[in-house]
Amino acid sequence: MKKKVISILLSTAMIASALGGCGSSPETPAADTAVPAETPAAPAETTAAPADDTASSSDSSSLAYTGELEIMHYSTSEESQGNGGSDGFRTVLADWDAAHPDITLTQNILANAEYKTQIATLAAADDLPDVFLLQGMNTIEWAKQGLVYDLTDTIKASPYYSDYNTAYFTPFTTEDKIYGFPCLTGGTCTVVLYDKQMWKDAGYDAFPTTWADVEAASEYFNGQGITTVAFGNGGKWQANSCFMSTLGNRYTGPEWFSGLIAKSGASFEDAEFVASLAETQRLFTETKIFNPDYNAVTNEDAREYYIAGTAAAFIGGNWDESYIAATLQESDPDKWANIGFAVLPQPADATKAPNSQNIGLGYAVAINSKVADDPDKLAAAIDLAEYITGPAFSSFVAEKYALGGLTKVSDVDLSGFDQITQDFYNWSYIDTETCEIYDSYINSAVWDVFNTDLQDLMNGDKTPEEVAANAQAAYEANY
Amino acid sequence: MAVTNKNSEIKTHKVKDVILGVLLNLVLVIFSITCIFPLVWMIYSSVKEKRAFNADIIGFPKQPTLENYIRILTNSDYHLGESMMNSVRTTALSVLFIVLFGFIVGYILARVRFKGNRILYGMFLMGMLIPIHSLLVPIYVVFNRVGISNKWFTLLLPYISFGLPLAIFLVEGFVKGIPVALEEAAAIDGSSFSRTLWSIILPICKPILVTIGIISTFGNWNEFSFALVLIKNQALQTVPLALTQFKGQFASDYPKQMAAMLITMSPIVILYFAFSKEIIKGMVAGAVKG
Repeated sequence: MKKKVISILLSTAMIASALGGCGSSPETPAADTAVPAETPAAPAETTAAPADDTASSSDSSSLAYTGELEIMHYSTSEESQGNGGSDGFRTVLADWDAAHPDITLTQNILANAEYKTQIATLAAADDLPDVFLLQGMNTIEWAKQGLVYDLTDTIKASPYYSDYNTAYFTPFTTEDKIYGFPCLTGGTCTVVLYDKQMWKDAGYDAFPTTWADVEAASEYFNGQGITTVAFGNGGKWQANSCFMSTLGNRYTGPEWFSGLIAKSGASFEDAEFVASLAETQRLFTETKIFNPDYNAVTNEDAREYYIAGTAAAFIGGNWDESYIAATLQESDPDKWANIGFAVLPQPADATKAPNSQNIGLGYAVAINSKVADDPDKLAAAIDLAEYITGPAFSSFVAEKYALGGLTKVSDVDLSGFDQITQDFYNWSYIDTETCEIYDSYINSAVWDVFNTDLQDLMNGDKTPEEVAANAQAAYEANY
Repeated sequence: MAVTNKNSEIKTHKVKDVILGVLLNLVLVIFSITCIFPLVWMIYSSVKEKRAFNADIIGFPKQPTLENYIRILTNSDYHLGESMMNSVRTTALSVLFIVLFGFIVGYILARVRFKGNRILYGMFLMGMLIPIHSLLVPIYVVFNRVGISNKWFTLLLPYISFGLPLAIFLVEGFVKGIPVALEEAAAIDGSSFSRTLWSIILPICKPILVTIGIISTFGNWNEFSFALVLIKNQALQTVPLALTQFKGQFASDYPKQMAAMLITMSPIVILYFAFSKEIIKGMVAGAVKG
């Protein structure tokens, strides 16, 4: 009898869930323009940038193509909640779709990790979708294989070219040819969030600019039972993306990494880079700055230490900033008002770019080279790529989220945003220098080796020289 | 005096037995808790807010909410209903064919002597040794060239192909344990080959077929790699693929993911309750136990 009752209850749940999902139209999801819970507070009166405030290239009458156009991306409905770039991407994509009723825009949307697996399989089978998101690290290889359409002339002839932030094209450029329109939002990957009041109590008016001062402050904080800086590298990528990319640049300068990308002689075993690894190891194993479980917890766990007040600062990316700010604004407005932003402190023996942080666009909208067989279809694909990375997108994310995209938006009105959002915008785009995000370039085979070794390095299980040698071997074998 | 000693010995013995019993039961209780806790954790975490979960992963919810369930069931972008239907259809059909073909082929390989019998058997078994990930791209290319990728039946082919080796292996071994005299007696009584196969051997093989059914059902319901590579149309996605959408690039909504998992687990749980007796029998009688 009990089993029957349970079976009936579960059957009801199944039918309810089936009915809940039946009304979907997955091929053309509607834009979700609701303000996500985790994003910086948007001004109430802000609305999405209307499609007509941009160039008329998205007008359906200008395109001769009628038929299906396939796009593959990872801005899922879930991703767009709490991620301004994804929300903007879905919104402008829906706008373009609505403006082109003669073109059937088929969207294949997967979560980011699955997207990367499927797009790699499709590339291996030479069956990429018409339009897709190209990851910086795949550019050279896929361009060499002729899988991606060369957009150099198109981009240079674009009506928005003068407004483009041309530095963002670097990961998608090889042999002077550009293979994609950088997309989504360019947010920092390395920001130090700190509690101004806690640091004031420790005797610092602002977050220290050198690691020596942070080390000195850690004695005070440890005495209080507080972690000085929270960091989580449980996923292995965090130490690379949110620490080494910036710290390495402080030792090597940008030329070293450009040389690594261009294969023009730079090596992971160069003394400057090895010195940055040595400093990373020293900071994590010889000082008591960080939470002891930094290699076991992820950034999602570590930021909770900051929110709970058991850490005086946190190192993470822009996605962590938006989560922390939104959480504290709701749960602890005083602590929220005390959020400060800083770049990574400068190591004592580093000589380059002390005010730098890594920022960039990791993906670009690219076009399958086979689309060029049909000039009308190619024109439609270009129009789509141009539109979803152009002013419509940038205005949307600037006005709603205070974020930046490929196209510069002049006179961004920040007055409607709260102080923290304004501070973060200024810190990200105005007050700091930028450097590259390592894993936007080269390829995953190299970074897989490097990230695993980096974790060992931070545990004290490998020497900087070993890590550098392994990374160099992986680089030579795979790039 | 002797009686008193004997009594105290019996008492000591009883106490020892009780202590042993308590200890053994304690071990079993702890083991059971470790098995069931993930499910219990999933259930109570699914009624937590994302922030409450991130702040305290293991703790009980202070303010339980059904918000996650409501969001999942009301947001058509999640298409969980559709994906469940796809999974039910794919799993049911592939399991049916695996059991059917596995039974026929396994029986023939066990009973019918012909040239190349062992080679064929060995070739089928080789299927169990090939890591499927190494075949993803070639299979995708073949399916694409033939024009059968991204269809409702696309996943049936790899699921049946990769499910058959184990089914054949189990049926072949099981049939070899059945006395040949049974089929000989049936033949003397005038039973045809097919009648013997379906009316006499099939009922005897029921436990092993149930075992194959269970293994295949769970394997196919949870299969991810082929579903990811061969299916591009969202409307054809299966449950494991649909569940990935709750994982973001930099952050994941675990409570919502758990709520979605509980919803999508329901058909399998229903199946278990509906066939629990058969499943237990199959697990006990089949070649693959517990």
